[in-house]
Amino acid sequence: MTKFPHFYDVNEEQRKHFDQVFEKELLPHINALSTFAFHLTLNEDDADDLVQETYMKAYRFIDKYLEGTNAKAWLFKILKNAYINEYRRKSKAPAHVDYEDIIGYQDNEDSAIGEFTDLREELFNHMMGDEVTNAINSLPVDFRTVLLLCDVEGFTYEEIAKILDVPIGTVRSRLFRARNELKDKLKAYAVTMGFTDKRKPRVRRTE
Amino acid sequence: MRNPDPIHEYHRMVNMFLDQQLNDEENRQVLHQAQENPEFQRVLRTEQNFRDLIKKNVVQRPQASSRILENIRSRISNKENL
Repeated sequence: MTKFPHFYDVNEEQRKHFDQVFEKELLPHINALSTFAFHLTLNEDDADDLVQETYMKAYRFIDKYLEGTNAKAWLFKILKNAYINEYRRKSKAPAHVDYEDIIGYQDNEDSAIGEFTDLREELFNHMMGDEVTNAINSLPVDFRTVLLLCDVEGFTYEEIAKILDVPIGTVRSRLFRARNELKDKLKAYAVTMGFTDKRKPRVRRTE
Repeated sequence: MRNPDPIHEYHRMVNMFLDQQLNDEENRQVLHQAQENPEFQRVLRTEQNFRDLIKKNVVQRPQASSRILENIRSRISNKENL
């Protein structure tokens, strides 16, 4: 079996240094990675396996990591690649289809952005935590991913683009569509809870 | 080409602002507009509430168990799959 040469070529001192970097810069992100893994797999055990696999890969290639740089983004990218390469391929789950594939989306930036869904402030009074969580989890995985990376983890568009290997325009477009779809779901839920939007419908202008 | 609908433009600016995609001068303009324009202020407040709702309700997993950490350290120590 072929081993990675660098792993066996390093001396004891270098090995200790790698171990220190791993402990100080990489392991502290395990909780964020764990949450990200769960939102990709929606399964606790698969998420734990994915996190472990990510750290094994990170350690294997730790000589490629530049100390003091963006460890979190580096780890998220490894995790995303591990998910795509292994879990999707091995999974017996139905084939994943990108939303963009369905609607024939092109990687154009703002040209892909249509009308923003405008929520009413009163609507938030009708929101229950579980329903919001369910609405988020029911979004397509590509949409859940960008929401988590941007709104929860606070990555920039540029960092998200690098993590997902997509153009920035795609990040922007996915965020726009994810937020709109989530708003539509929340609106629909609020209506079932008795909320009525008393505004006159806006006239949608075309560009 | 930008959408001439002012509400659309407010949303676009607010999203860029909250996603930290604007420079310092543009950030100042957004804050100024929020003070001067009630409709813009409403869009900003609603979008901020929406983001807070997402943060609050995204399932955050509890701290990684010591078992996972031990597994990772053990596999590295044993040079398993390395």
